[in-house]
Amino acid sequence: MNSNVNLSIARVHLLSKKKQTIVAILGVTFGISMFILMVSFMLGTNEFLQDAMLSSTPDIHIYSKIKNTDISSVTEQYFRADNNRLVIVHHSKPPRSRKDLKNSSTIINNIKQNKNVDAVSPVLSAQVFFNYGPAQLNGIIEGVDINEETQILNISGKMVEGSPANLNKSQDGILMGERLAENLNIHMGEMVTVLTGSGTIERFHLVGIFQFGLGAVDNTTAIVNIANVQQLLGKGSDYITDIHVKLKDINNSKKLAVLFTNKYGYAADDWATANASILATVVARNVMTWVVSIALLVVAGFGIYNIMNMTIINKLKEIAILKAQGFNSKDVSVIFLSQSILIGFVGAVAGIILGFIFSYIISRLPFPKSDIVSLKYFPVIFELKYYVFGVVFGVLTTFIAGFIPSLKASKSDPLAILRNSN
Amino acid sequence: MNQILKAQSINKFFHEPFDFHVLKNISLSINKGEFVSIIGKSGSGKSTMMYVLATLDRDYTGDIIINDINVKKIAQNQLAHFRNKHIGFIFQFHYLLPEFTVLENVMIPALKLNNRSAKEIKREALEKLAQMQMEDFANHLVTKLSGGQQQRVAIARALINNPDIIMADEPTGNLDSANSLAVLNILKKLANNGNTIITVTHDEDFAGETDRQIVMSDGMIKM
Repeated sequence: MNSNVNLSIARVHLLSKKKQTIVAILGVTFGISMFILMVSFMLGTNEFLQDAMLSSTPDIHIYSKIKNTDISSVTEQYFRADNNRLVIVHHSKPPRSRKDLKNSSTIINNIKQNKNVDAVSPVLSAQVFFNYGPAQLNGIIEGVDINEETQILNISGKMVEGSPANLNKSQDGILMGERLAENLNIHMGEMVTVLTGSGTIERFHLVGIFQFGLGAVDNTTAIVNIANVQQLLGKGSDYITDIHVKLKDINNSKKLAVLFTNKYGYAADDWATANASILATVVARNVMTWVVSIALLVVAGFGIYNIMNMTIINKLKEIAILKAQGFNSKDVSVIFLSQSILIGFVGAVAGIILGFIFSYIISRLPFPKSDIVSLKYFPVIFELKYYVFGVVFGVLTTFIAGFIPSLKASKSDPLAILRNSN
Repeated sequence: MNQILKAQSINKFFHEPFDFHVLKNISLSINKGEFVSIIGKSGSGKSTMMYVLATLDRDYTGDIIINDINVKKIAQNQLAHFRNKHIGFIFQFHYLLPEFTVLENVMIPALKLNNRSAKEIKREALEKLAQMQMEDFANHLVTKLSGGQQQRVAIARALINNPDIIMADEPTGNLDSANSLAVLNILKKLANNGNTIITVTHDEDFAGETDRQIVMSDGMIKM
């Protein structure tokens, strides 16, 4: 009952200055709704990119890197470099090196025995030209065992037309990136000619179109059965250039990539290294989201601080009379603190509702076409925890903003006020 | 007659802007049902005296006993409750809460004291307003009333918890003569009904109507 009197006084204070109260509430509402919108959109973008990365990049990618080393150069052999003589070779050319992985089957079997590994898939990739009528585009053709590769990359989930299983059905099937097919203006069931650097040609049937959402993949890549690429390049059935590895726990990828590099002598990139530039933008977006959101809320907090301060200065006489009449310091601070907390709570709840509406609208807006990413709509996530966080954060900010003025009100000396005005 | 308030050797100093001995060894006692006025020139210490007696000012030496309770012994955070229960205040300015209706203003101290049901408080508040002939305005906002009406509401508010003592600081200081007279008559009637009233005033006609005048001069009571 006692606290009810305090709260009903607080309520009357708020209702009697509707305009001021609404302005204060709107400050919080705006801050929280922008926070919800930013978090939903930024994290939606992050999630989209992460999903696109993880679907299109194996956890670990093992391949043969062109090494530029001088160790076996002619310098030592011919000039007998020793401690007294310095021999410098400018602009040494890379040594002739093989693109394929030697002992590939041994390596694959070995990796399969590692208890952290979930699946392994051999890949043969080559730079080629895709010809369709007069259109000629360069790109990458990846020969895979489609049954193994689909365990590693989420190709099935990224198909726009057809399915990866179609590769099993036809000898000359090909899956193409959505943008690559669009640029060639080729449709399902039509034939595309693939031309290698050494001049060999093979024709494929388009049996599927995939869209990972990343331009780097969708613009250039086509997937066929590995035997087709081996045939195209004139190589044997154990000739592969890449190994894709999927781990049971993706967090081990960095550690195991190092292990594989050391063990097999080939470059092994974990997915994070392969997508370092995308991951950097993820961090930048996270930082921006929180900085801007907190700034918005701090501004709203200052607004409330100002309003509460003004209110209390205007009400010093009433505070004095309340204190003379049985309200102690605690009651007075409850009266004013509850006002700012109520502003915060109402503002925050309105903010998450508005934020949800904004997020929903954005999630229905078509995403502009670009070469970097391909998306139908703006990526937005709807996660309860951020809405809860928004309310908590809004109430907390207003609590802090209201605390100092309330403390001032509770400490005001009724005597000084009553005496001065007489 | 039994004493309701007793002050013993009250001394008080102001330190700002310079050291000043405001109340000099004041002792007095007030009986239940007395209507007492404290008069004196500006600066004589009469208002300070009243605030000390009203427990709003604790910065003094000496003892004040209200209703057999030594107010010095009451903890700071209990003091507001004590005042609410035992002392009703009337000020020169009405100090009503502008956002509330007349009825709510009268009810708030009782709701805070919380020893009766809200329904009972409302009934008593309307009764007190009727005594002041203000019951017709119960649902008006106080800002819509005239100065005299506001002061009558303030008196009803002072009475709501049936206090042992009503303290009035220049209750007519801000009113015209007609309203002053009305307030005086109300206070006299309250005194006749057994209420104890201590009022500070510089209006000698007003003081003349009270049971006893305590004249203060230079921080002392003039006998």
